[in-house]
Amino acid sequence: MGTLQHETLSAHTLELWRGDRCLFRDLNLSAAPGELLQVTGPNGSGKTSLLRVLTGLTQPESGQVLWGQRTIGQARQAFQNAMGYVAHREGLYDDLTLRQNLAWGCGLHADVDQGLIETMLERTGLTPAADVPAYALSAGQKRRLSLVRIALSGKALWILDEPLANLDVDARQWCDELIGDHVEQGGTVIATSHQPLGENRVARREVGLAA
Amino acid sequence: MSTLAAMRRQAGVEWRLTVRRFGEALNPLVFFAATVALFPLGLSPEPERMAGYAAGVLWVATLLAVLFAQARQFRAEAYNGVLEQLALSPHPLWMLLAAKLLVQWLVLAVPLLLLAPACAYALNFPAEGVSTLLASLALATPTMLMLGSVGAALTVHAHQGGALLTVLVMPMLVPVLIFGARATDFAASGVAPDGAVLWLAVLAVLSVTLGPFAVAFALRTNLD
Repeated sequence: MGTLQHETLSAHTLELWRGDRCLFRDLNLSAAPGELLQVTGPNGSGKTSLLRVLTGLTQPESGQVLWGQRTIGQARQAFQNAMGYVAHREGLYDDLTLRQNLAWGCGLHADVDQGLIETMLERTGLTPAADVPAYALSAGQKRRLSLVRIALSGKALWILDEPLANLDVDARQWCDELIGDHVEQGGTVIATSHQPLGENRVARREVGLAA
Repeated sequence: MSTLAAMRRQAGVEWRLTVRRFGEALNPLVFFAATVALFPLGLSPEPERMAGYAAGVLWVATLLAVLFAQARQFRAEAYNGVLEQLALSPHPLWMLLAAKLLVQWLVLAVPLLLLAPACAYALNFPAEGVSTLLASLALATPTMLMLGSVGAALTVHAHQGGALLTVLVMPMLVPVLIFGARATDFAASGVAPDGAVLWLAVLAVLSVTLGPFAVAFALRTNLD
């Protein structure tokens, strides 16, 4: 795994519109190494849109997202080296098996040892399904797979869109521990969720979006 | 974590997907052969007249087969979020796309080039023109593929994107069709086809060098 030394992600006076609706304006936030930032708000309040702005996929109407002192556009290489995104769309090839998906997905970001992949599959109970094509997996299994991918990719900044969605009780526990461990080791996590993350182990700050 | 390794891995994934969906990869070829086979039935099966329109038919069939293969390009990747992951990876998106498109070209063009001489023979196309036909097809298919990919990238989120793709890309493909068909026709009638072939080469160089950037740019815009 790579070093978790990294910059602070901050956003300044963000404003985003979707159609004729203003999702947020004058939004400021920051997440430093070792911090867990949870984005809350009702369905449709723009949580996913905010995360997409933070990853750089969506351009805000105004305001900027900084990685350290530079915008994420200027620091794109360094930023994308450090950032991993678990999206609502899982980012899995339907026709590839779980193992192949993981080799591809982790390989995009880091040289990951096959042994490490197997250990992680074991820990998350995905080993029996490892040679099943992704289209045959349940939504919860796919979600677990994308979490395994980000955990193995050695990223310092995790941006997670509803990490607990579709997970069963055990997997929620596992995911919450994963987030807690990452923050304790000095990583940054920005996540949307309808329930508190970090199981009170780590300091958690919230950014609320209005409906 | 070198970009070259990531490109190789991306090409491997693309190849694996093609093998998984063998029938889908075969579709454009069947379409090509069927189009070629239908023209003599519709126009005339007389050997002399067939030789007259053979070059045009082979070129139109190739162009339609490539467009047909591109109609659903990037759709699945956009829908299941793979494009987002590619766009957010530490590697330049255009290089990953270049690896993907190279495999697609090999899967589409190589069988097409193998099939073309047989189709040319069936249409009574003069044997002395076949080498020019193959050379010009080899030069034209990268351009067709790139233009089709740019169109597919631009329409990836549009409903009925297939129809839009055809309308968008068809005018840009007209020069390729004209140069290709002329070169082939010249060669068949004993005239030197160099000028038209060189133009195809120019277009191929342009599309291979600039195409991946254009596709990456179009996809990034559409991810917003």
